[in-house]
Amino acid sequence: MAPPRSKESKAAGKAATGEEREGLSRYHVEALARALKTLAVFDEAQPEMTLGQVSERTGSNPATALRVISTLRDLGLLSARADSGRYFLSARSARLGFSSFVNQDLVTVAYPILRALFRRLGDSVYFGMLAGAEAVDILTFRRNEVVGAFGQRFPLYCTPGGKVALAYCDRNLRRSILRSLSFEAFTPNTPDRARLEAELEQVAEQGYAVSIEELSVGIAGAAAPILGRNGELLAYVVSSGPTMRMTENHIHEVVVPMLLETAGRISQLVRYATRDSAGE
Amino acid sequence: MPESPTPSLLPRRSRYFIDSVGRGFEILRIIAESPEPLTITEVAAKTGMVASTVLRFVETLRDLDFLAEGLVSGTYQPGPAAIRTGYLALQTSPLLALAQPVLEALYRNLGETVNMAVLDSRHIVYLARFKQQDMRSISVHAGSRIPAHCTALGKVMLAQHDPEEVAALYEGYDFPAFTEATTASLDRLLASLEQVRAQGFALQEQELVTGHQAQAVPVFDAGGGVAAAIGTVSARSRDQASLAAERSALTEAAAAIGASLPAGFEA
Repeated sequence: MAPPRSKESKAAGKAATGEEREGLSRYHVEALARALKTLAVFDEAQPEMTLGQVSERTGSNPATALRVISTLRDLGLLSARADSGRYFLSARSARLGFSSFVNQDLVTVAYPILRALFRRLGDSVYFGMLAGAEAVDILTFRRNEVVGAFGQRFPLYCTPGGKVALAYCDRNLRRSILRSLSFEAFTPNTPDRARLEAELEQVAEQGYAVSIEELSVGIAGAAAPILGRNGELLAYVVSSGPTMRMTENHIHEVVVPMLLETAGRISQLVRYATRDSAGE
Repeated sequence: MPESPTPSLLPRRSRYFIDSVGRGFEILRIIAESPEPLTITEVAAKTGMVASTVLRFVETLRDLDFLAEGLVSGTYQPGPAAIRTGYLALQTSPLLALAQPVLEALYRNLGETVNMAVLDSRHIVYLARFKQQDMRSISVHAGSRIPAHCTALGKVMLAQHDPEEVAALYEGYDFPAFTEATTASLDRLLASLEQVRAQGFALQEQELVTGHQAQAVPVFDAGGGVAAAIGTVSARSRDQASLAAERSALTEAAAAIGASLPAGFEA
């Protein structure tokens, strides 16, 4: 959903899942966490950074940031410009996104289609996946901004993307997530367990989800699932905005049909892309 | 070999190297390359680490979304942050931005599948591919990582390194053989690399996929270091003259890309 999530709301989301993951898990390997956070600070808006910028954005002191950067360079994940010495994600780190089941081809295929949707709708578009008991946005298209911050997490039970993810994920996973959820009423309209369960059935039947002021007052949106070859959930696409524009009527007449069309096209292309292609 | 313009093939460990970071990414790589989500026990078996250690690393990777739980509870797969990082690496790659229009033109001129890759230890990582639709068989996507020794792209890059360094890199390596023609021993690889070095390109027949013919040339930066490789793959068998013509188109494209790369370029 639209509002950028602060640390507080991230913590709220975590608390709402009822998991023992207050901020960081008790198993945390601190140095590894720092390295992962360092990779995550590079984005499209700022693909190249100096040591000072990395240290500032990760919140570690320059000496620590340098150790982490050196290690990431040794591992071939960060490169440095020959001219400026600035760091950037190495071409080799493209492999991080590759796997046989969740493929970055999905993101590559989806990107232009989502951008086109964003231009047509004019309201924010989000592309995300299920991660544990939360929905995480991978691509964000907001007004005046192409790709926004990564990693916004949302509670599943009161966001359109979360509801679609729940309705379409594996049955056992859904059962265990539902068991772990504790329902916090963010607004008078936040669903409780009974309403959510009834709604999930409806979502699966109609193929999309709608949330009106369920997480924040004044914000509404809808979402549709992107499904793989065997009907498995790969990702979801959301559009949301202020209720002034996102009226119920607008959602049903304009937003939902476009979301369904977009999700359908991405699903189809992904299935095609993963069907056959040639190796060397 | 004196002061090579190409950085060493062997794993680099600066004095700052943080061991636990290396182990964390090793676990991530093993999970990403597995055809299905893995359990903690399976990761422990593949890495030789103790399960409780693996668990700590996996939890950390999961906290930051680099891993996500698989459909079967207790199994792990790459998470959204890993996917996003890989995607951004391609999207923001200075090399790829330079090469993309050149490769696209090459693809249109030749009508064959055109690829670009960089070397990652004993593997190559594909950065771009312009694909002929009529080819079947194994799946290759940008970001995918396959053994260097059985690809023309991998060989042209390996050939730029000192044979002793290649021998050290492959010491004790169990060469996977994909077809009857795969270069499946160190001796055969070194002999093949010597030939590639002498002729300046790699041409190979059906080492990865039976029936496929691949050619590749290196992309050099201004200092003569090898930054990447570009190549073609064809399911058709071509005569010597058309292979040679294709090669000169590849060499020209490689020079056009390399012309913009400063000495000491890192991909």
